[in-house]
Amino acid sequence: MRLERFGQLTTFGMAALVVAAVVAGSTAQQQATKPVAPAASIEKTGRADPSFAQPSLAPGVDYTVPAEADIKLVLDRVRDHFVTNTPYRIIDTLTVQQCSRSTGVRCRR
Amino acid sequence: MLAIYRRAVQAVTQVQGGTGLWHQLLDKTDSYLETSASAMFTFAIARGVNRGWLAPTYAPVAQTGWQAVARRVRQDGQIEGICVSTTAAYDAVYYYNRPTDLKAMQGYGPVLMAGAEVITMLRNFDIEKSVNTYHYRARVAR
Repeated sequence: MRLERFGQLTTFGMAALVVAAVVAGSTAQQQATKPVAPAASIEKTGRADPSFAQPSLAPGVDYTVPAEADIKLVLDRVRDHFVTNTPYRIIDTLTVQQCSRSTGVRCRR
Repeated sequence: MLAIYRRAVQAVTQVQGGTGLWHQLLDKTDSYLETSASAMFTFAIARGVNRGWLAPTYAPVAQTGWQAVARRVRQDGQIEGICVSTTAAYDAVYYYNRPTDLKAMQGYGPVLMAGAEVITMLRNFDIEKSVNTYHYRARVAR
């Protein structure tokens, strides 16, 4: 039964295992990254590529090299979502009380 | 550790779906395409290529994985297709029917990590497109 249960691990579970392996390995080997200029712009082709003689890509499939700027835009959207939707409180670290408009002045030290 | 990791990546690569995403149940192509695990696989593969643990031939797997994951990020920054928290069940039906939720936060971190690692990959390699596919070659320090 244990084996069957293990066999039903989800994709998420498998992915978590792989990520754990990567992160564990990362601590052993730190990369010395040198800033390198981004790759030369690669023509975005995908479905519109006339040289595609193979069966065309299914709708929604983007078979192109992402541009760094495009990736950053996606990451920024996620970050902005967190920034706008995460409630925050300002806490007075001495009293551990939440500062409010009325107590705000007293929180300044 | 590296041997296990490489075997896992090799296996995972074989079941990547045609959209670039992976299925909720890896070998069940009728299960839905799940975002967070896809992001984790993308991150793990890109990291391995960047660190030299994997051959650059794996880079396009991460590339296509990212392109697919990125499509799951809505304009408002919420991410679609993340399976909610899941326990270990004895049957496949349970996993088939686990819902996705925009508020399933465990999937957001992997997406950010995947994007960042793919950016590093783009910086580390020259990419040539030939015969309709992509070939990554490590950049020589100039």
